[in-house]
Amino acid sequence: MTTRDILLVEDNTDDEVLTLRALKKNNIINKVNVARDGAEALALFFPDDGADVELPGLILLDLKLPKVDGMEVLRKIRADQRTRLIPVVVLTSSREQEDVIDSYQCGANGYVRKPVQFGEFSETVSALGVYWLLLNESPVEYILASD
Amino acid sequence: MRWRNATSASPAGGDRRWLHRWWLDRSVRTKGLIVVAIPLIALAAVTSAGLVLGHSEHHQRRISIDATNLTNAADHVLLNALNAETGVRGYAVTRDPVFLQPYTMAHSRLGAEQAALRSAAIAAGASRPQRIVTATASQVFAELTRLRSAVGSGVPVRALAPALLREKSTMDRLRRQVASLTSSAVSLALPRRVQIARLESVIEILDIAGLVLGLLAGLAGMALFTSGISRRVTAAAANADRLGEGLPLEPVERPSDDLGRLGDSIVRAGGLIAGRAAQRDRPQLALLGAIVDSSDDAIVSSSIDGQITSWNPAAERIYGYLAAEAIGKDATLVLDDQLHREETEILSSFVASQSGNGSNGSKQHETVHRRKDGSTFPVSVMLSAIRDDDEVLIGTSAIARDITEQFRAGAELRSRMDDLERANQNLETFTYSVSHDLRAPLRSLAGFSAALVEDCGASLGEDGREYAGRIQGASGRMAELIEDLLHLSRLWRTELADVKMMDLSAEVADIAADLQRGAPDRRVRFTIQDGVRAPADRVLIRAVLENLLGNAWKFTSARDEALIEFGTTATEDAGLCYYVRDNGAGFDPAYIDKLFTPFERLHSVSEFAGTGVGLASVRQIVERHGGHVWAEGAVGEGATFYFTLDAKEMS
Repeated sequence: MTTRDILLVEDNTDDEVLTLRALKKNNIINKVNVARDGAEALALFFPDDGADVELPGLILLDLKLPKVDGMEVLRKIRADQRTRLIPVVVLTSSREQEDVIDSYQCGANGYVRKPVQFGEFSETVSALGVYWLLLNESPVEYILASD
Repeated sequence: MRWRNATSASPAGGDRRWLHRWWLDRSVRTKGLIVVAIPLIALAAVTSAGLVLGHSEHHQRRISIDATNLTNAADHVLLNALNAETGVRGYAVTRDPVFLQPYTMAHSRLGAEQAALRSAAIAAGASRPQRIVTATASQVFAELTRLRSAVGSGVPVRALAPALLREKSTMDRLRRQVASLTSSAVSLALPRRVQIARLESVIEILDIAGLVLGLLAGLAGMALFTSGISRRVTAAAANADRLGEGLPLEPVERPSDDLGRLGDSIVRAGGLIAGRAAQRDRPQLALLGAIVDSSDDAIVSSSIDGQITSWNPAAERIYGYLAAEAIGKDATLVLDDQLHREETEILSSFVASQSGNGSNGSKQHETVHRRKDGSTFPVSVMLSAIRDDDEVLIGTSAIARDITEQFRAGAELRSRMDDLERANQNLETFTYSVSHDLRAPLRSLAGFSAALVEDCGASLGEDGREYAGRIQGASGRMAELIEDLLHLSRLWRTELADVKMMDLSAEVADIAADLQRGAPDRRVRFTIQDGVRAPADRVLIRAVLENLLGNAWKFTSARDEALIEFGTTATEDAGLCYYVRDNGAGFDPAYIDKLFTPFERLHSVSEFAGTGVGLASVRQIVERHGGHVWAEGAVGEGATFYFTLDAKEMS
């Protein structure tokens, strides 16, 4: 299993706690960084001083966020050469058709709806972690190698 | 063709007009005679002048010839006497009778010569000199006869001398007399010749003058014919043609001759016809007048320069001005001060656009008008052109309708539409909010109660674990409710996307198979009519059938011999309809109104699971397809749900 960090962009602390718990319960031990709004998430990738930052192996992105919303964060990430290949999975409460279509059009790798029932929720988070960090061959390694 | 009335400024103009008038007033017969007579008179005048002059010339010529004849005759008499003298003198010298021959011949011709001289003298009127000449000639011959006798009797020549001398003097006298006669005849003939030459040249001039006069007379006749007859016949014929084609007639001069009467008759016939048409149109006009008078809209006409020419009762009512007050005033009377300029421009540009003969039309616009009391109100104005019989623009008519009510209704409608639009937007926001924000706390409730049991289950005890389980159950149901609510709101917003001919029977069979797979232990008999087809949105109609069959499945769960039926039937008022029937729990018809209302349930959750959204969705979808849905049933006796569909296939 890759040791790259997971970035969780989530403003709801309850969801944050539940997500972290689900990852832990499912033995996903990667470090999880949390950004509480879109601006904070973008600052992690595009710091003001232009310093090099370590890229995460997976971004779990909520759509409805304070300051800069998730769709905008996704657009910015996809527009930048360095970050455009990072796997991004939209993890949200919305099941609006429009949101799903917009997300994929902006370059999301997946769109997952947060289930209410904890069992399902736990399984979903675990599956995401396992798939994107373990099974999937992440392009991030190659980007960094080619730098 | 219009007759131009010559109003010449010259003093002769009046005379000419009088002459023209006089000429036109003659009858056609008189005109014809005059036209023919003019060249004839000219011809007669020239001919008679020629005759008179010719006669005079002939007379002069006669006199001249007579004088010549007289001269000739006198010369012959003298010549004859000389011949006789020559003969006698020869005989006297030779005493040979052969020399007497000229004398004998002359003597025998003496009578004839003298007679000829006499008749010439009578013709020339010169009898006295003739008688003298004749007498002298006779004396010459008498003396010669005596000389011959004397020679014959042998008298010697010398003795003859006195007789010869006498004879010579007589002969000389004859010569003088003949010369005198000749010179007087010549002096008589010479002036005649001059006279003849003059007459000849006069006759020549007269011939040319006659030719010119004849030509002029012919031209005058033609001109009179054209002005007095031909042109007016043409004008009358043109008017007759116009009469035949129903066109307005040209005015014609009306002199008292037959052509004038003809033209006048045609014009009067035209007037008569127009009069009859007017009489025929009168009821029509009365009807139109009644319509204008009884109109609810103000109908106002104005002249081209903007003066009001008519004002109907509705205009009096709407604007507050009586017809007597308004007519003759400027049409700007009713314009609002603020829109005055704009309105005036509309009016004048309309008049300009209608000035051409072809451009027939009307123009409608909405504006604000002012009543007599100064209050203003919105009006819809229809401007039309008014034209005379020749299609020339003579004014405009305006039909004005007070649209205060429509304005109010329109404003109200717009405000309602805005409200509705806002409500729709609010609903969108609301459902989005429900979708996101209501679910988040539920997730916390469910998640943390589950975590509580997992992590601290031992210390919670039996009751604690049960309570936590109830929290999870409740949050699960609420999530389901929210889900259904969102589903319903999506249906409200969804348009029919893809209407195709659907095999409903096949869909029902598929759903039945799904249901059976979900609960293999249940024994349910499905009766599905074959080949039921209808145009419908695939996804939505599937949802309808799933809901109805799912309900039937659910409410027959207590039956040992469950029966679910799908088919079509004809109804009296809805035509062909589809139905799903079951022999399940049924419902109390008293609550039938609540069946299709969202979140209304006729059974407790413990009895039958569900949120109460299914049938509301069914109704929503069926109505989207232009159909409707209704139900029959009784408690414990099963239920039947009917629906119709009336969607059009999309290409």
